[in-house]
Amino acid sequence: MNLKATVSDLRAAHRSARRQASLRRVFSRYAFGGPLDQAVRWHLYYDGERVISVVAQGKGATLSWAQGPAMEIAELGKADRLQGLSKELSHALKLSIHNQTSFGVVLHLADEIDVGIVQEAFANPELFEQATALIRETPTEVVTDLAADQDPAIQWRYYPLFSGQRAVVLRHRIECFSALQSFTGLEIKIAVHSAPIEMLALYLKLYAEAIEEKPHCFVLFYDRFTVVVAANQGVLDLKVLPHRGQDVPPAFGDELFSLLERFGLVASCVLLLVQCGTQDPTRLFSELDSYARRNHKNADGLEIQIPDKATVWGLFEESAPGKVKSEIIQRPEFLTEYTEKSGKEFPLSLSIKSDAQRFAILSRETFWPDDQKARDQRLPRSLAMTMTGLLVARILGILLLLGLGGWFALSVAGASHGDALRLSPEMVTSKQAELTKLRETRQYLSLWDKILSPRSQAWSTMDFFLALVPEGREVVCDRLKYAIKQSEARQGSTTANSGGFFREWSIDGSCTDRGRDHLERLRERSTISSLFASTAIRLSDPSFGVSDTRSVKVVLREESNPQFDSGNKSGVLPYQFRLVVTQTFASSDPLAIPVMPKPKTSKTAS
Amino acid sequence: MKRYLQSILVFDFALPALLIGLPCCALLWAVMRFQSYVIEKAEIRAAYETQSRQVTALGAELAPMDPKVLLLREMLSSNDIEAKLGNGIEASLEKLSSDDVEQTLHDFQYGPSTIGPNYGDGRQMTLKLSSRWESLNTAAADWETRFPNLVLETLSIDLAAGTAVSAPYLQSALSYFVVTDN
Repeated sequence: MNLKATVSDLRAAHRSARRQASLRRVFSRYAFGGPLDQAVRWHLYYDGERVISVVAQGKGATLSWAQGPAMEIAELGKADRLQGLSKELSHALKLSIHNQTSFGVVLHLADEIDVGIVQEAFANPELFEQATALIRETPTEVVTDLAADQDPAIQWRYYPLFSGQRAVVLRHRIECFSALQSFTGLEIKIAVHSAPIEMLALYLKLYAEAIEEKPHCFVLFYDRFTVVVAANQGVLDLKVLPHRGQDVPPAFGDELFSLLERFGLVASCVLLLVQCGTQDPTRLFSELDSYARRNHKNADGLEIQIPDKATVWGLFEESAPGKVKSEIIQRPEFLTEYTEKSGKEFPLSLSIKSDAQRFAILSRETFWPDDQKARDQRLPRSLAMTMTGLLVARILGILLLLGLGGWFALSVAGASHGDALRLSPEMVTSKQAELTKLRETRQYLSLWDKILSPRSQAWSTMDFFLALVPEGREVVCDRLKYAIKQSEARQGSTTANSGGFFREWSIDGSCTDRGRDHLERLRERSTISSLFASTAIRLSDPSFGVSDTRSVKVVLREESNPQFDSGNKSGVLPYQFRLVVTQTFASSDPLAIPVMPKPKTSKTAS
Repeated sequence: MKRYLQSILVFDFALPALLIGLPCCALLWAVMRFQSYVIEKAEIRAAYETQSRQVTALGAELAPMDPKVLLLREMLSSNDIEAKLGNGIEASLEKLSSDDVEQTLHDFQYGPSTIGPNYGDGRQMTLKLSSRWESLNTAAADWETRFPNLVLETLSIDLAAGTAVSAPYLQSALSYFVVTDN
């Protein structure tokens, strides 16, 4: 059951992730950015009495402003109307901006604001990092006297006042929260800014140098509340004075004087009455004047100024000359577009300039719910890129699978039509056996041809005897002997493949003087060699041939015949002789005797 | 984010690896194996064709020698060799008249050849003949042609007594080593 639930959860999470990781979003520069990072920001100012709608496009030098879709207050709380207006806006944007997929909606709230009491644990402004994070998750741990179950439409934010050694927590209630929540989505990113904080940031920047010279007290006069901020080398404190249905805050004088007196600023201070709503701030002056008279307060040290509206607009003239037009932008709070991005390091030094920087950053703090749960629902760009990469890998994998399948099919089809696979092992074996048999037959023939080469035959041997002696009666042979034997060098050796041998012709007989001369000549190498060579040719018998691997030796022993008589009447010849002719074949000779095949060879051959 | 990561690991990595990666690997393995099989078969086919060509060439080369092979086998066989030789020599001698050549001894012995150990042990045939020179030469040429496996080991020819001057008649002794295939 748990496993099923886990799988179901994972599938839901994956569906959501896939929705957020569409190719269009992954390749968009803006899809994963915050509302203020979008190429187009729709600024809505709401003070409870009216809605001001302005559209900002581009960034930095390309930042331009245009009138936004006109809105009534009632429309702000209607999701379908917001959807309709956003579609109109998207349609218009797509026509003018290439690859635009999303836009930001920045709601600047000036309808009401409240100050809470900071929990003692976070009263020290140096704990701002922890407190800023915690107040989004569990505001009850930072703000005192809060109900545990908080309405998500009510949001608190933490503001450290380093110069005042304190921190304040401000609350905004987002009236149109439900409508905005159903309006927001992947393509529409919402931020809710605190208009008075934005205004304070602007004026701190504008009056930073002046504050260094003389303490100032900013009175931000909105239609439904007034924010009083004391500053002397830094922001000392911030008070919110709700009007409670009146034009000016009740007990304005009391609140102002108590603040100034607390910081000793009554004697010398510039009181800056800033018109932020529709009411003229001279009403505050009148209220203050009547209060001072009524309560006998000495206000001689107070220098009251009402800044010209053009002053604040002129602040950005340098950075965007000719583009900051009050008649189009309408609200100075929107000018926070020109302040540096909040990614900059939060300054910690005690000076009015640091405070100006701090409030510039804090002014971009959104009051739109952004707790851990909300953050967890957003797919980070890195994971979206990973998903896209894995999607590409999947597509490539499928293509590879199809390719491999096709290759395999083609290989099988191609091979089945070829001859290679049709060859049966029996055919191969049979052909191999046939070849082996033929080779063995050839080897058998070759071997036996060599073995049976004529080496020693009676008819040729007898013929050679005749060649040795001359025709006629000059030589008479009594006995002829012939033998073939193994060479002595070969005897006892069984390592060589072929064996050398020698042939020996031996003649015993008698001869005349002429016969003796003939026999004597046989002892000459040239004569006997020539005799062997001519016999080889005559008999077509290569065994009589002459070569380097053969040698011939002739031994002739002769003596007087004791039976010879000078009359020669008995026919006995005067000399007896023994002629021995030896022909030796080296083992390297082609006719050397090869080793006989073993019986099994001939068996195989048969 | 953890859920997203888990879901991506499961649905975008593990499952595709299982459903695509494994079949891909299996198919790749199958393709490689099949390719190796086809290459092996092609090599066998090529070898078979080479062998076929060799068989054809060798067959053509050896076909005329078939009778020779049969004769060789018959001749080299030691089965009944003594009778075969005896009959052959008889046939050679019968071509000549008994005045020209007469066999006086025909003997077989078994043992090593004098030519050397390469021939191994075998039969030795001894012939003794009374003959004229030409007749002996003709008869020897005849049986040596009939039996090329006869290797002459020794030969001795002596004049027969009383024939020293005219009509020489010879006493000859021939010793052959008979080469066989076993």
